[in-house]
Amino acid sequence: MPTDHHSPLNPAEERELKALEAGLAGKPVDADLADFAALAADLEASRPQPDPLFATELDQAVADRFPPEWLADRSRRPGRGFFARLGSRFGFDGQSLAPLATGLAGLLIVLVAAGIAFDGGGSDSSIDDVANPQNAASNAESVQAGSASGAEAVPQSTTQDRASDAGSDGSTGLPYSVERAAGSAAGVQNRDVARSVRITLATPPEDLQETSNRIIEVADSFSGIVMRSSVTGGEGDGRASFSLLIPSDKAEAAVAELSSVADLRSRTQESVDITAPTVSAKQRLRTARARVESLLAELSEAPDDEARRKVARQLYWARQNVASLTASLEQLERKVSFTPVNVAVETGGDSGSDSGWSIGDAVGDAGHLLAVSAGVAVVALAVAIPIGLMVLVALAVNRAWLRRSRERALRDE
Amino acid sequence: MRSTDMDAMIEADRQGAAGIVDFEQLYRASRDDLYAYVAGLLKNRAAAEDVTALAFERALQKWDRFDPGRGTPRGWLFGIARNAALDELRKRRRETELDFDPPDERDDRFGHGDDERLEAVSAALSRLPAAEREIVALKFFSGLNNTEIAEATAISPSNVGTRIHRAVTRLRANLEEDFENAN
Repeated sequence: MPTDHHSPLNPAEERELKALEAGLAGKPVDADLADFAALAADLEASRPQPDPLFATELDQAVADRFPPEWLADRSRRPGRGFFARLGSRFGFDGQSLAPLATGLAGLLIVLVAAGIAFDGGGSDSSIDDVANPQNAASNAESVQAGSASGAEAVPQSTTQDRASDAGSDGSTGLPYSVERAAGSAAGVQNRDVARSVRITLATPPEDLQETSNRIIEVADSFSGIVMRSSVTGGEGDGRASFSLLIPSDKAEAAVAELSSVADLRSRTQESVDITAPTVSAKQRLRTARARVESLLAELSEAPDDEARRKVARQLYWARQNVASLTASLEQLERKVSFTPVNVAVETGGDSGSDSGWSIGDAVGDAGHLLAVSAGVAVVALAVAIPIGLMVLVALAVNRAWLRRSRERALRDE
Repeated sequence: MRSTDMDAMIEADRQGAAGIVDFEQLYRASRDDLYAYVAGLLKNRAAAEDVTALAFERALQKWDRFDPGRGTPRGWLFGIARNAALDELRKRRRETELDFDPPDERDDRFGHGDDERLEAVSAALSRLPAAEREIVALKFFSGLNNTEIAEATAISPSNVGTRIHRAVTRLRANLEEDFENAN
């Protein structure tokens, strides 16, 4: 029971109060308090009585558990607003619906605004999702298709297993950042990204040579360079391997076509952001060239042979430095301009047209499905819990507002 | 005098057997008391009938959720009725702000025939502020004890006594004033 501050009654007032109680109960009181008892009795006698017709109707309505026609008739009377009628129709207290609906509408507006704000920031972050420039090693990650996050972010590498129909599902394209790197060849350079791709194909033994020939043809068609190729045959266990260099602006299409030459068993794409070392190499090269220019000027102004020989030695080493830096920069630029693609062709095991589905595959798929389901559940909770909390807050605020409003009506009437 | 239904219900409450009290029993024991309270507060017969019906309708909807451990059935019921009546007051206040002419309630007064004393008491009561009129209605029209009034109004039982005394004191003052004006 809530405690409220009030001045306690003094003894005389306590006596008067008891006299009122006694008057209600029909008990005798002291003579000096007879007025109080009489007033209590008069008040009780003056209490309003319900109209007999109304009382009968109400008795019947209660017996019938307030049938819909009774509620409909009552709802047409003044004093029952939309939410109250709605509540009566569906069996809940509609009085608090109006502020609750307002609160939920406000919550919806906040959520939509937050979603728009985060979506605008998210795309920017995905653009910068590249390998750490400090990390010279490649970062290989597997990106689960249809992940719960639904992220279409820039993967640093993707591994696609058992693509039964490579190239037809549109999932064989290279990541976004490779397009950026390819775009650099067209003059739009934001980052320098070195990429490499490993593809493993499967083919029947009798088709090994044909598949190998097809791989060479694809490389040629995209102006690629075959750095190394090897085809080793044996009945039932042949294999082939190719090291290709494909121009980066054509790498995406080339990889897609290479993936469709035979059954795709795996594909790994790796990337390294070499923007920082490239920029650094360019700066060092500029500095080195400036040093050469400076030494040339110094050489022309040398006062004597001894000074000239000294400057000439410095100039020699400076030019060596320029050459070395130039070579390093060209090597970095080649990494961006050309994408190494290593293709391996296998013929053993379950290669070929018979793409069976083993128990291991079933277990793997089940695990993947569970992971996706768990991810969906986590995301759903992440959304539902804050919303639930905000709804609870809205309900509490609504209840407090309603209570204050009613008390105010009592004071102001 | 209280009805036998109410006596049985109160006895069941006292014995901690609140589960025996069903809604029909509560309704029979409280119908007239609840109407009297609402009518005393609202001073309008039509509004009192609507609010009384609404209160019982809501109580029936919520009866399954009534927790005997948190109070008596009557206290709980009158709490529902109080909210419904205050909502009516809120609505009336909003409509009054828009209306230039106040509603004519002469036809809805609760007349007491030729009993001048009761008429005087009613007239003096109607001039009390709503908060004091309410406490008088709960105590003298509905027959609630101070504990039940405290449950219905969410104030402490000791404060109930204080408010009753204050309301009755003002009522007596109104009566004396009316008497002097009449003479």
